[in-house]
Formats: sequence, structure tokens, C-alpha cells
Amino acid sequence: MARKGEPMTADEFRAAARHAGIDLPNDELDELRYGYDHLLKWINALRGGWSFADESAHRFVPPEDAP
Amino acid sequence: MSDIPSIAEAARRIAARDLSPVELTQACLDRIAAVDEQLHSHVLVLADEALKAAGEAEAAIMRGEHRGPMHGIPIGLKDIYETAGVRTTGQSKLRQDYVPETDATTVVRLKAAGAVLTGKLTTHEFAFGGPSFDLPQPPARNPWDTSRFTGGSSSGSAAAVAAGLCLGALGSDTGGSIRVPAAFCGIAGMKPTYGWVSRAGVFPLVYSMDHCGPMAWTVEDCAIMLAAIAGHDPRDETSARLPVPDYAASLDRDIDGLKVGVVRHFYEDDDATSPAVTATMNAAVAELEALGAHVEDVRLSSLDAYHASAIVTIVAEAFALYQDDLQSQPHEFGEMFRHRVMLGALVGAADYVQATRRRRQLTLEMDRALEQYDVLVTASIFGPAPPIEGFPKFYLIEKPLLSTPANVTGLPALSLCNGFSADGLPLSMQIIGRRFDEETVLRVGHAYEKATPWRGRRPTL
Repeated sequence: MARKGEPMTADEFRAAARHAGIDLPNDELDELRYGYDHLLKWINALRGGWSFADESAHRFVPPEDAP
Repeated sequence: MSDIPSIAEAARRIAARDLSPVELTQACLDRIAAVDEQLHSHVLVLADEALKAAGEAEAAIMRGEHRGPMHGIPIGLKDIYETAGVRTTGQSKLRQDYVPETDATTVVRLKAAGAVLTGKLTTHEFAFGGPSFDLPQPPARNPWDTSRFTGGSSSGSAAAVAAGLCLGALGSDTGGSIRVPAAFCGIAGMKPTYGWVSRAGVFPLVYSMDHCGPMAWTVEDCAIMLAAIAGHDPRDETSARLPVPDYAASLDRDIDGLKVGVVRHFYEDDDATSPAVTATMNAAVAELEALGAHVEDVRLSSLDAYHASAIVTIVAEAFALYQDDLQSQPHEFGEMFRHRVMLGALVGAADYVQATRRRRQLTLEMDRALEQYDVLVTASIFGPAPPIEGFPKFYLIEKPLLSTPANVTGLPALSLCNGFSADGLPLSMQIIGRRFDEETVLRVGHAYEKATPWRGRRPTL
């Protein structure tokens, strides 16, 4: 099993999509994995290394503070 | 009628009874008939309905019942805006037979202002999947060079306005879908503050990032359209309760002394930018200084930081919205939409939470920067419109966009033409303002536009 943040194998990829109710067609798998690898870069950029102590970050965006 | 007037020019002439709304509408319909076979900007032309509405506008104006600057003005709607009794498809096979019973609130308001609806305009599928060649209608083409991409997803809106097939259009903007096509097609496009223009009756894509707004030839025209559609709507839960300013009254005030922060690193350091973009941005910043603005560089988080939050939010929320159809009938979607949105199935709940937390931080960062500056400026695009053939399916996921920071933060942002590349394709500057301060954004854009020659050039087809 891939560790969190690492690319998944084809089987893992298919299984993860199935968990969300999506059956990925074999002939589209490579393209979707290509897209996911790029998405993973952005997901990883958001993961870890920053504290939950910043309460201001917990407020939902926007605009409950709108006048 | 040979010249294509701006909305403001047409409105002045209509009010003076020097221009007939029927003739103006007929001229737009004639241009659609003449060139839209090349552009594919319309999915539906409403010729009979438009001429009837134009006739009614003309009769009312002749009776002295002039309703304001949108009265008798031909406009188009991105085909995700619901129109009572008129098919609204989202350019998807899934909605080919959908005929809404009511108008979107923005459409109600434009009709009340006397606007004439000439057609429904091409969009990427459900405002996300394009440029696609496997949908019921082909993608729109850029009128400056029909082998080029219009940008998306308000592709038909930008192409139609640039080519003068209508004088203004409504688009929607989740990651840049008003501002990027406006930029590639050389027009002005305004993404208002989140909550400022109603989204009721408009197909959603990403609840927390969708915005509706105007696209037109000039900034002044965007101001006129925005005044007609903005303001509280009880049909939209996210709608703000604020009075709508008189944008036209403040548009001509000078910008002497305004503080402008230039977010230069977004386009110079954070991704590969065409030299022409750097050159036109330098010239635009110099022009703002010449107009009396105090200009200095400002540093924010990287464009990557904004984009990471944006793209994870976009695919997760879009997948949540379309999950049922993607499960039950995936091949009814075009391949671009299906593949992009299916990636949302693989975004974990914790990742969505982190995107939301980061988003709040970035929002505070930009709000704080705007305590120091009246507006921020940056480029709208990294280069001129690319070829439409072979456009990458995952471009939004592979690389950051200069437009997404204003969607992440919900701040108002305007794209306007700031020059042309060596091969004659439009380039664009973006002006971002304080929350609900569209007035200042429009004022800066209008001052720049009046001082520069870019509105003198139209695409020739």
C-alpha cells in the first residue's frame, strides 16, 4: 500500500476510486493516474507541518464576515 | 451599422433617440449570422425573441419610459444561466432537453433593466470540461485567431463580446472562468466579491468558489452591467445585504494618490511567463504611476500556495456535486469533465479540511495586504492564447493560474486588456480590490483604459 502522499499503484488507484463509488475503466486509467499525480503535488503541499493553533484558520471561508 | 458600439456609447445614443434598439439588435444578429460559423460562440440564437424585446424597448423609449443604460442593449448569457422557457444545457449531453421554468435572478434583473437577450453562449461542460470536442456543440474559437483557445469556461461569452456579436455577456468564475477568457479575447471581465451577485438559477460547480459577473468590451460597460445585476437576493443564501453603489458616478474620479500594490512575483517568479507579459505589465504599472497612483511591489504567499488550496477545493466540491451522475452514467459527460472531476473522488476529507484552513490563512493575508493598498495588480495570464488543438486536459491541475487567488479569497477582481503580443494576440492585467469595493477596482481599470489605446483595436473576421 502506498504511504500517504506517494503515488498509488494501478490497483490501489482503482480501489480508492471504487471506495468513492467510481469504477474506473481500464483504458482511461493511465490518463487519470497522470492527472492524479499532478493533483497529489498540490495535496502534499497542503499536508502537515503547520499547527492547528492558528484558530483564525478554522473559520470557514467566505464571507460570514461580510457586512 | 458598421461600427460596434460599447454599451455606454449605445446607451447614450439610445437615450438620445439617435440609435434604434431594433437596428442595434438586428446588427448583432447579422454579425452572428455572418461569423459565428467560425466562432461557435452561440449554442442558441434567439433572433425572434430578441427582435420582439428590442421592439418593445424601442416603443417604451419612444414613449419616454427609458429605464437606464441597459435598456435596448443586446446581451448574451453563458448557457449555465437558467432562462424561463428557453433550453439551458450547460453544454452537456445530460441537460440537452432541460427547459427551466424560471429565470436566474441575474436574468430577471437584466430583463427588468430592459436588456435584450440575443442568445445562449458556449461554455465548457458545466463550466469545467473544456475545450472539448466530444460535446453536443463544438468549443468556441478565439476571434483574434480562430486556431487559438478562448480560455474558459465562459468561452462563448468572451468570443461573442470580442467579435461584437452582443455588447455584453454574463459569465461565471470559479477559478478564473470570467477573467481568463476575457484576457485571451481582449475584453474586460469582472469577478465580483463572493456574495455580491446572485448565483440563484445558475448551474453550480464549486459552491464556495462560484461567482457570477459581467463581461464586456470596456470596464465602463462592466460597471453598467454590474450595477444592473448586483445586490441582495433572497434566493441566494450567500448573498450579501449591502446597497449597490452608483458605479457610473464614481468611474471618472481620478486615481491620483491611490495606493497600488504590484504582486509581481506571481507572474515573474512563480511560473514561466512570456516576456511580452512582463513588458506589458511593466508598461501598465508605469501608466498607473503616470496617472498619479503610488505604486510599490508587494509580496504575498506563492501562487502555488493559492493554487493548492484552490484546486483541491475545486475537484472535491465538483465531485461531491456530480458524484451521482459520475457513478451512474459517467460516459454521458465529455471526457475532459469526467476525468477532471473524477479526480475529486481521490481527495481525502483531511485534505479538503487542510485546503479550507489554508484558504482562510490566504484570505486573511490578502485582506491584510489590502489594508495597505487600495488595490493589488498582477497579470491575468502567463502569455497569449494558446492553440486550441491539443490543449492539455489537466492544465488546471498541472500548473497554477493567476486568476485563482481571487477565487480563494472571494475578493473582487477585474481583467482588462493591457496590450498585445508580437503576433497580435491580447494580453491582460488583473486588478484585485477590497471586499465589496468593486467601485475602486472599476475606477482604476477605467482610468487605465481611458489613458491607453487598446480599446481602439477589434478582431477582424
